[in-house]
Amino acid sequence: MDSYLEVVIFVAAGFLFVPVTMLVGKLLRPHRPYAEKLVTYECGEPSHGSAQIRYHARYYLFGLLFLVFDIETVFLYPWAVMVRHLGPIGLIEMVVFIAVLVVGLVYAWCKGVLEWV
Amino acid sequence: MNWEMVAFAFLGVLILASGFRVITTPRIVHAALYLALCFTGVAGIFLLLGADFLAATQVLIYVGAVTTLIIFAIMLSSPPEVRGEPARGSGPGGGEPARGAGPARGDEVLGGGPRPEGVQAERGWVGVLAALAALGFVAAMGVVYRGAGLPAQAASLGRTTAPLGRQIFTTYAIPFEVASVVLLAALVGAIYLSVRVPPRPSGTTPVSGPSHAGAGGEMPGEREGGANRGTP
Repeated sequence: MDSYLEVVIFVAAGFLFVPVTMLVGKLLRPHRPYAEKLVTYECGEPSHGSAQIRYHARYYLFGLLFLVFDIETVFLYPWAVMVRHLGPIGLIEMVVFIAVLVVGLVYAWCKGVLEWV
Repeated sequence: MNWEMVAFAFLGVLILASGFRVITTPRIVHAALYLALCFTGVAGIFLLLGADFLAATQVLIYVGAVTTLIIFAIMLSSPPEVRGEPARGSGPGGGEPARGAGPARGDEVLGGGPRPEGVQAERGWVGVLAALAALGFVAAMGVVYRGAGLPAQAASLGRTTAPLGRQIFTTYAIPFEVASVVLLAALVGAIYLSVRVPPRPSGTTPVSGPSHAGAGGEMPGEREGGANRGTP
């Protein structure tokens, strides 16, 4: 369990990084605000409208595609560790698994989900 | 008191507090972020139990993908619901103010506004049902823990990935293949439900990649959602 000490240090450093950076920035930077500076920054363009608009359902499909292939990646990892011990059966199993998911990807492709309009 | 107890207490408090905030925060986006924090705490519990691969999976799938999907689902709902304002039929989003999704949350956010009697009664029933469900869950978990023989054997597993891979691809090969079919069903179902209209023959130039440069009238990214908000 001591091998997780690095993880704890990493998490602590990650949590400390944001407040320390903001504190240092607050100490170093000059403070001369005016109206244009205080406007919400959006890629350098004047922002208009509310940020909480209703998004198109297409974005949900991108998220779902990401989830599906994320799960596939998770299954690939223990398979890659054990593939030498599993032999050809393991290869066939993974090929079937990926083939079924590729059917979904092809369906999405044919339906034009992957097009970025 | 060893450091594992300290870590367990910290993670337990983190999970309980973030889970409580998920159901009490008035902003639903904050609820999704607290849910991500709760998932992260559960991953820490898995690490304490010696299940390193399961912890990595928890972070990768639940914190990474499922939370992203939940936030996308929030973005698809109409803005007044997201902000917790009363849903107006004449809003820019148009369409029905779908109140069936979360009546209890919506009313909690509304505050002291006037509300119909039917909604009030409905909220009471929702509360009773939620309390019953919570009690049932606690009872079921009590039964499970009683039969589990705690404390479980932990931290003696070593590396879990190789035995897990052996189990998945030999003993549990059929459930593994069924999982791909389930994922396929989810994907095809979501595509079938959301892609009804054929691609519009619009005159705008197709923009490849999510870059903000050079988009004439229709910008990709977040503005596109605004441009398409009328389409179902």
